Amino acid sequence: MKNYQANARNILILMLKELKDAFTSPVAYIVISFFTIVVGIAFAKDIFVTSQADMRSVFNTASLVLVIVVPAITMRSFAEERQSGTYEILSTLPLSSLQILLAKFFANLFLCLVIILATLPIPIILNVIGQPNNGLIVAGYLGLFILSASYVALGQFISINSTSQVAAFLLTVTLIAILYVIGMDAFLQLLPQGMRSFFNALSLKSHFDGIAKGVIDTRDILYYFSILLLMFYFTFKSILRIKKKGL
Amino acid sequence: MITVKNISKQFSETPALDEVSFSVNTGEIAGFLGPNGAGKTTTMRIMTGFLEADAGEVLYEDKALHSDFVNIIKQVGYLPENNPLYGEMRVDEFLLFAAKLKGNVRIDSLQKIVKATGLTERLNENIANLSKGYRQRVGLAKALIGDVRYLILDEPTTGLDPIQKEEIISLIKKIAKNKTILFSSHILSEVSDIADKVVIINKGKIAASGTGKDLMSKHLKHAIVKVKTNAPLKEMKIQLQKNKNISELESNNNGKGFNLISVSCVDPELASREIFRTVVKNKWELTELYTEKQSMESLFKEITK
Repeated sequence: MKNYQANARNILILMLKELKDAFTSPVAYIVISFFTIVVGIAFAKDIFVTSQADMRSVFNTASLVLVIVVPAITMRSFAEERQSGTYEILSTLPLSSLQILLAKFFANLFLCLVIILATLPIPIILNVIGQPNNGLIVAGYLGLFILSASYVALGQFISINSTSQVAAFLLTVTLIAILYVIGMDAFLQLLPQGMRSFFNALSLKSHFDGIAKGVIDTRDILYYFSILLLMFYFTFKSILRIKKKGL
Repeated sequence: MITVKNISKQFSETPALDEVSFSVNTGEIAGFLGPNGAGKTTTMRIMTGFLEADAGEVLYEDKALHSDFVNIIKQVGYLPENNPLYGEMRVDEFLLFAAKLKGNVRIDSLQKIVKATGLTERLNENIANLSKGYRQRVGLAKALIGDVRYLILDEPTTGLDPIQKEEIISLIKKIAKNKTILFSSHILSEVSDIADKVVIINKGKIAASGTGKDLMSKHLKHAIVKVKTNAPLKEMKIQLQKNKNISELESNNNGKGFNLISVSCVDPELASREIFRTVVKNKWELTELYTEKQSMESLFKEITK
């Protein structure tokens, strides 16, 4: 119990430091502004062009914008430390490799949560002007949260294997974009019938669509859980590789 | 006591450390010497858990570092080479961050460290805005935080001006009480000044280890007598090298006039008398004759040659 508390305490200390770093640099404010502006435009377009207001296009746009926003957050987590040499400080303080990995993950995820919740005025407006299905809205937000957790896990894996933040950003965007696009109808229609279900099952987007529709399918949850576990495993292995080979 | 036991490490094809073993006793200050690329930093990185050894282990008292890393490392203060720091953090934020992770650090002990390292006036400054000397102090302060019993300092004076170097050395002396310290340096006078023990590493292997005095008597079999005379070097060589006590004569300047000649010998007193007699006999002139003090430099050169 004492050990568990000490572990949680160390994770929290590093997590708070990471969050403080993020909010003292302009990156956090830029990504929050960028995200809310783009998602806000999508919502406004719905109201003014189609005279309809619902959250579907908001969630779709948000899931797409996160493809760029999350890598801008995760690129710093390990790549910057490796680039500047501060990773040596971190790994020689009383922190285990797993604690470092989890603290950085939770800090990035918390930042994603702040970004996602910055769009809360939209459902509030919807509730003021009409009677939306709030269950669907909650499911949509849950879906965005789980989706961004997967993006963060993927981003951290790329970041630990890079010494350049720019390279980490570009590689993460590419990887997430591929996993997103392979679930889009426009792409799936180009494929033979037999391959469609395979790519659909692999895609980050198709599993998100299900949750955003309010359908909590165990297959979708299992998919995101597997991505998280797999990426944690590979990131942890990469940390151990740095211990073996140096920065 | 810190024990480094048969540590080996290889980077790609190149062996960096080959069965490195040495120990630093409790309360001892050990200087870690070696030419560039000898393996000092790699050894220290393994000792602090930043790198993992391919073979061997590091023991703090009787406990292997890898067996309980988080708890053992709480007692180890480390100043890495080039002292990387979080530039965007303020000094107080950074020290508090390290203190929180070390756990159970009392605020008054933190204040003592800040005072000892001379950072009181700089606590609210961003680390990135500090001079190199103050950054080094921040690194040292971080290393001292907590219940630190062992200090591992990788070239703590590199890049500092002579005054800053002196300040850091006196700081290390001040904080050395009740701590087991291993510090690496290129400046050999620093090592002879504060180290109880010297560990010399060369090409990834421990070349020598012991007190400076012991190593000198073991490795420096020859003393150097310096003589400044107008004697022609060639002629002097012929006359002096008949003597079994004298093995070699060297001069950087072989021109006319007075040259400073280094005479390598076993017994410097005997050699001095012989040199004096030879100079007088040949009616040469002599302005200086003295025995060169055996320094850490000569020991280092002898061992790493």
